[in-house]
Amino acid sequence: MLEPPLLLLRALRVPLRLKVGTLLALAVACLSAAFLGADRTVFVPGPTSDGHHVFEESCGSCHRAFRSVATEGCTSCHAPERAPDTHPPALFDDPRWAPTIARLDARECVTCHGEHERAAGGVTVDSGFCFGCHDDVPGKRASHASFAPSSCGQAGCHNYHDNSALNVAFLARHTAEPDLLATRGVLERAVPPRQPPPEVRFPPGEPLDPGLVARWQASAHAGAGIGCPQCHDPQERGFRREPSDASCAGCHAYEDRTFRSGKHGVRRAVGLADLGPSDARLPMREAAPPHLRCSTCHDAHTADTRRAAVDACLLCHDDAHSRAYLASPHGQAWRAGAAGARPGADAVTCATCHLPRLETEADGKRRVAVHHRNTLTLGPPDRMARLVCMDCHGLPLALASLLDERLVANNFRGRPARTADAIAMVRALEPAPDGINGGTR
Amino acid sequence: MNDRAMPWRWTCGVVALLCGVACARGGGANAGVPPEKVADFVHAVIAADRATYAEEVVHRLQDVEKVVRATEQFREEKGLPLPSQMLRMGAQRAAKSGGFRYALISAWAINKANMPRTDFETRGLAAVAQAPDAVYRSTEEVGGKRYFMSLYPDVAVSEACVSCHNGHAESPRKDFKLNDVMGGVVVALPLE
Ligand code: HEC
Repeated sequence: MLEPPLLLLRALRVPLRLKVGTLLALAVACLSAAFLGADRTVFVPGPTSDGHHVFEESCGSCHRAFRSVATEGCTSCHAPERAPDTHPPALFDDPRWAPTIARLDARECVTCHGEHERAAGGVTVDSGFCFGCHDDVPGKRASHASFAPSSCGQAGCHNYHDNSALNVAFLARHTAEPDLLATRGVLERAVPPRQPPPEVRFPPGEPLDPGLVARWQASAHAGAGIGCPQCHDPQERGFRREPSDASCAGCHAYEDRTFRSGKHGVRRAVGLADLGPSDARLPMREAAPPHLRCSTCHDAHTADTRRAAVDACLLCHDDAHSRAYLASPHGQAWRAGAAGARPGADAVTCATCHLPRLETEADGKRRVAVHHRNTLTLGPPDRMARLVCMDCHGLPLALASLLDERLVANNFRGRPARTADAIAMVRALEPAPDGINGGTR
Repeated sequence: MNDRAMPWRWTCGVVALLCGVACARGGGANAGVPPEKVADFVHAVIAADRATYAEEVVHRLQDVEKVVRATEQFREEKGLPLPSQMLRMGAQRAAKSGGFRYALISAWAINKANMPRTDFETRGLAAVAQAPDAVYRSTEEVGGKRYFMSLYPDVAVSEACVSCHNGHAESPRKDFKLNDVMGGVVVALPLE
């Protein structure tokens, strides 16, 4: 069977050269049109990694014309995952490492994180790569004698970039901790003293919803002196009925910046349409809002962060872990907890773990703020354990639970099936280890 | 050959001579300080900072005043970086602005990453262990770039060096004494 265009050309009795030429020209024209157009997904050579797929049409975010992907392109976004980096590229950019670099170029991110293929944790290098340098470990450490080269990064033992939660000294200090710590470490956000709400200033003729005004008057915004013009007419350039997210960012710069640096906001950061449910690989609800904006989670007239911390997430997310939240121990405690516009330090909401409150000095002043990079704590498990779980739980329970797939799926209902290997190994060390990586044990 | 051409020839000759002298001097200025000297300057700063840190920071605060410990996990344990970590962090910063590298190595390294990694390092460590006053030097081509390499002996300048290494579970050598050569500092200067 001939394809329709070929049939057409034959019917027209055109010479072969012209047929081929025409087809080639058509193909070039189609490709050029696709290249110049906004959607370049036809050029994507394979499935983009789970980390980057939401902005894969933005080729220029990683690629420059006629050059391979540069490490600076990666590090400009991935700084938080690499602070401090145990294996920084700067370390290997030294002639003494040349023989090692020739085997595995540890100066380039793409050596281990190849793109346009999917791999767990975005790691595309052979899982035995640690042994390229650390092959002395099984001989040096009795406890590691039987370990396979591919097992270093498994079971919550080692993390190439950040071993801050997985070194023997740290583990040893936390191995005896109970499941639930006596003190809670979730940070409280400072609430500025409440002022009387400013007066309502709306242009005459613009319809005004009295219910909405009443809600705003009781809100944290009104209490902080934020009235109509700050959002609806920020630079006195004319009234806007539906303010854009730019007016939020005017005051909430840290939140805006961190939002753009995560999967939720990266499309905005690279100039694509805001993230929508169809961009996701995780299951999303059918009735999910079409785009994720500040107002999807935050209602500026109530400034109710209880909604932003749980209800808003569940508008879209429809995977097993999300669906199990409300019935989980964390979710039940949240539902039974005190009402009010903000979750207290005791509540464990979706945001407690995925949009954590952290201390920041970003705007020149030390304060507690919500880090809006939704992917900050997502993986590897030791990262979530250290940044979040250990605010309330001992490390043994935290690490074991995060490594237990069944518990992750059911949102931590029940006890972990087994102790994390890293914890078991450190418990077996006697007496308390001293020295580099626990010495020879 | 006519006589009127003579002054021209003289002028040309003098100009050529002056150019030659200027070039020779300019060339000398371009060559600048010889690389051995540059490496020696760099090493003098590294060695001075290293000894000061070991004596006035680690030894004083850890062993004399006993207020804080030097530990590999210094961030986690709110302690002092080890002298070798101090050197490595400094080297990474210096590489960013200065374009040259230095590193602390040893044939009896606690950390395997500090073991000799190239022929130059193996030869140099053996040489300075024999003659602690000598500097081992060589011009090496690595990855298409030429480097002027110098390896200086790293000496146990303080009791802190000796006691920590001898007592360390992963140290392959436990009989260091004060003033022993414990390893070497490699300074690698790019030649182009
Ligand atoms: C508190 C313990 C401690 C002190 C004090 C100390 N070192 Fe070290 N040193 C170490 C450890 C641990 C390493 C390996 C750590 C690393 O480089 O990551 C090391 C690394 C070295 C190395 C590189 C080779 C190797 O063993 O890995 C040399 C050489 C060295 N030290 C010499 C000295 C000298 C000389 C002094 C005194 C000025 C000194 N050290 C003081 C603990 C110490």
